[in-house]
Amino acid sequence: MANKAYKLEKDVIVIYRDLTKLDLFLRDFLSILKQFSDYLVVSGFVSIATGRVRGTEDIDLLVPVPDKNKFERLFNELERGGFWCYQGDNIKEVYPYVQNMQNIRFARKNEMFPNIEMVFINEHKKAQYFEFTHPQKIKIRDFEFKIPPIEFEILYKEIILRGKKDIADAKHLRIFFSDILDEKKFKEYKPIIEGSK
Amino acid sequence: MKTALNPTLNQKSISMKPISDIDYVELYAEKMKHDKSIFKQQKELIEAQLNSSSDLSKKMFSGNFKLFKSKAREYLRAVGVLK
Repeated sequence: MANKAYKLEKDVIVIYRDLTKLDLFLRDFLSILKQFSDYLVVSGFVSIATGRVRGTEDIDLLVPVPDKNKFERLFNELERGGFWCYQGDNIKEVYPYVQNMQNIRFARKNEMFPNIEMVFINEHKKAQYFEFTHPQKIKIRDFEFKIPPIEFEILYKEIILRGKKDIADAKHLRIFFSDILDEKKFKEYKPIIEGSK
Repeated sequence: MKTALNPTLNQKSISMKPISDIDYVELYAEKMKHDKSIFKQQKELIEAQLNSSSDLSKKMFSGNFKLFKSKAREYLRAVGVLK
């Protein structure tokens, strides 16, 4: 159908819309992050990127815990790229957060919103590690990035997060992607997510 | 069931009278799935909210970048985002 909002093209979800300022913010941040680390975009932005109409001020990224040297290079490059970190202005202040797997946030210089929230993961965080290692590619215009499998994102919101906003996000994803959702994947992912509660 | 007005909406969406936030989410997702032009409205709403947040933070934490960060962190501590 000519007016359809998306299609699945060689395992990539292609969304037929223009880029928003929020997309451009994420694209700029990922262009630096990808030089140093793998990532997965999760949570509210997944729903918003696929049409959910709601405000957000942060974009959550899963990122494997980096060693100090790699993080220092990433941090310096983000600063050069025009970002500042809520938690501190140098590695000495910020790396302890990373080591302790506490989230850190970055915004554009002289801005507080929107911001990127980096959520550090390792193989002990079972559900997050699973989605991180099973990414789904999504493309909007020329911007391609990685999100969890849609079925996983829906169940994670329904079983783990469960806030009003999360349930609404899950409902949006269930309806918007009803043509491509796979019941077998729901069955496969459910015990993984329930096991992480 | 399809209608002449919108052949893509199913019977549930057509007959449903939105009464709650979740009903609107459902209706909007169903319409958007078949009509990419609705993304234009979504873009306007998202960017309006972003612009408001940006303007507010610039007003709250005006000054040079060093001062901006200092005021912003003070606020973030006060609201519990920073420990």
